[in-house]
Amino acid sequence: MLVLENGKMMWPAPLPPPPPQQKEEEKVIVEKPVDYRAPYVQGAKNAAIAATSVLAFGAAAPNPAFSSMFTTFALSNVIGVQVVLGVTHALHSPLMAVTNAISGTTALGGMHLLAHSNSAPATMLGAAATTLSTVNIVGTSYESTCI
Amino acid sequence: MNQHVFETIIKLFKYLIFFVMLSLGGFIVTTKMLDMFKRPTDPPEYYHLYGIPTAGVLTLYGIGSMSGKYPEIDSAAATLSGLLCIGGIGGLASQNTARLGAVSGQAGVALGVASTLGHLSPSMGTTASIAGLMAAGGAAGHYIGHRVEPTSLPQTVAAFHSLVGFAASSAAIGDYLNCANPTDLDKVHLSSIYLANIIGSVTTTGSLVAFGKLDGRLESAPMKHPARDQINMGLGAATLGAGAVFMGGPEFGTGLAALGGALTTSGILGWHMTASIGGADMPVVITVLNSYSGWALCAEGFMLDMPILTTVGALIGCSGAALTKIMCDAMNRDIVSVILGGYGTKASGKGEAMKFEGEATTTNVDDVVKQLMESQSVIIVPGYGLAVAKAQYPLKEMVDSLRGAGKKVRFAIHPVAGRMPGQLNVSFELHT
Repeated sequence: MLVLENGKMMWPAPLPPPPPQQKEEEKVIVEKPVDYRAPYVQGAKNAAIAATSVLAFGAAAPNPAFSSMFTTFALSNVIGVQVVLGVTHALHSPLMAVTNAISGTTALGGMHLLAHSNSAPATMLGAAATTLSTVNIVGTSYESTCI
Repeated sequence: MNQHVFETIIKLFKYLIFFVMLSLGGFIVTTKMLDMFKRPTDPPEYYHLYGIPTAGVLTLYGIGSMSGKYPEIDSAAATLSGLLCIGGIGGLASQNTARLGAVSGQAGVALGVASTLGHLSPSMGTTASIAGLMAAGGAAGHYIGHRVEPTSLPQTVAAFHSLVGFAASSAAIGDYLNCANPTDLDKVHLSSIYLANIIGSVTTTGSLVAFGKLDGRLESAPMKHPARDQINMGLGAATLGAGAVFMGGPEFGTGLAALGGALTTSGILGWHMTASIGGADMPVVITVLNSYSGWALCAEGFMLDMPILTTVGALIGCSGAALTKIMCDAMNRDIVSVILGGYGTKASGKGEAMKFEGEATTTNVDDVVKQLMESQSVIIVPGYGLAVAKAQYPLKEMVDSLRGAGKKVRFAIHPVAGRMPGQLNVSFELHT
């Protein structure tokens, strides 16, 4: 280790030259006045749109069955969002597999069609819907096994 | 023989077929699935015990439904089925309850099928044909599902989405064909037929293209047609136009033509939109299609007046939308443009392409080994290539030896790494 050279102290070794500093362009920062009102305006608009559309569904409802179905739909959405947000990131793939499997409930639609069919084409379509949906239910169950 | 006894025997036979069918489909798979989930180090699990309450509820429901004394028991069973499906997703909130969730989802679907059969009480022949069809479908699903490898999951999911879309479209058209007098249909019924039809159609073709791209059967580069946006707009307008005709409640022939037209144009739209998106963006496409398949199911629920379909559909729709949002946030993309399909590579975009700044540092094995030996704390950022190369096993050995040497090893996984949400997370949860 070189410590002295011609009487000159050489230890510790001098640091390598620092990397050339990039000239930072001086950005002129214009401070925008913060609009505290804007988010509330937007929120109020969204609330108005949402509330009006719900009422519009009520106005368009042809029968009580639709109203009760609409209630189911609205509440299911709320539950769906809450439940899905609760799923951990690591389980997002199984989440897709499970939703895929339960989307096989389209089989129920096909069965409905088969039971009430009054023409050959309708029977064919119902049969196709039932069969393909069952492929889905059973197939995706396996899928969740691989993950 | 007394008429009543005869009917009861027929009903009993019906339920017998039905139970055989269920055990073919749901429960064997569930058991096998849970077995496959097991690691040698795991404590023993007794999830098959949940089969007892499931079978018990099905039996109770069967007896109640057959007795004919409780007409409302069908809808209660359907509600229970919906709750179980919600529980299926809720169970995924943590690793510990995930398997219970899977069981719950399976039981939900089984009970859904049961309640529909009970509600419809189809004739003997129809029941037999439903059982036959489901057995055939179940066998096919068994065959396909058995061959799936973990790395080919994304394309399998895409392929299965197309089945859901096709089933939704078929049910919509079939329902319209079944109407004795289409001019009498109310607006809600008409619009739910129309929506189930077109959403199903978009999902079918879109998923097929996504499957082709992910499976390497189609070129994964985006199709850059210069008039891309115009084509999309044109197809969208044609679909809406056919919808307007259909919503007018026309005669049967006109209505069927409008429905078929909307089916075709929305199918081409789904194909074109997905074809215009590059392979790297497919994870988002899959979640969007997942969401679409849910909304198609919702529309079907309104169409057939079956709350169970609406509940499950909303659940799936929300799930797909939430996953889409998570992935979009992770990639700095706009969720609205994603839902509308105008995302990914902007082929029609003008101006200079974004410049990539900075320098990439490459290295070789020796340097990496040296650096790893010298460092105290290591963070590994895996990509999809690792899953394809099945490198998680050697990686695990490496991580073990590093940890054995007293180093801190962590993983950083980007939310959209892999080809479907959380794909890499899964590899690591199970193997490292």
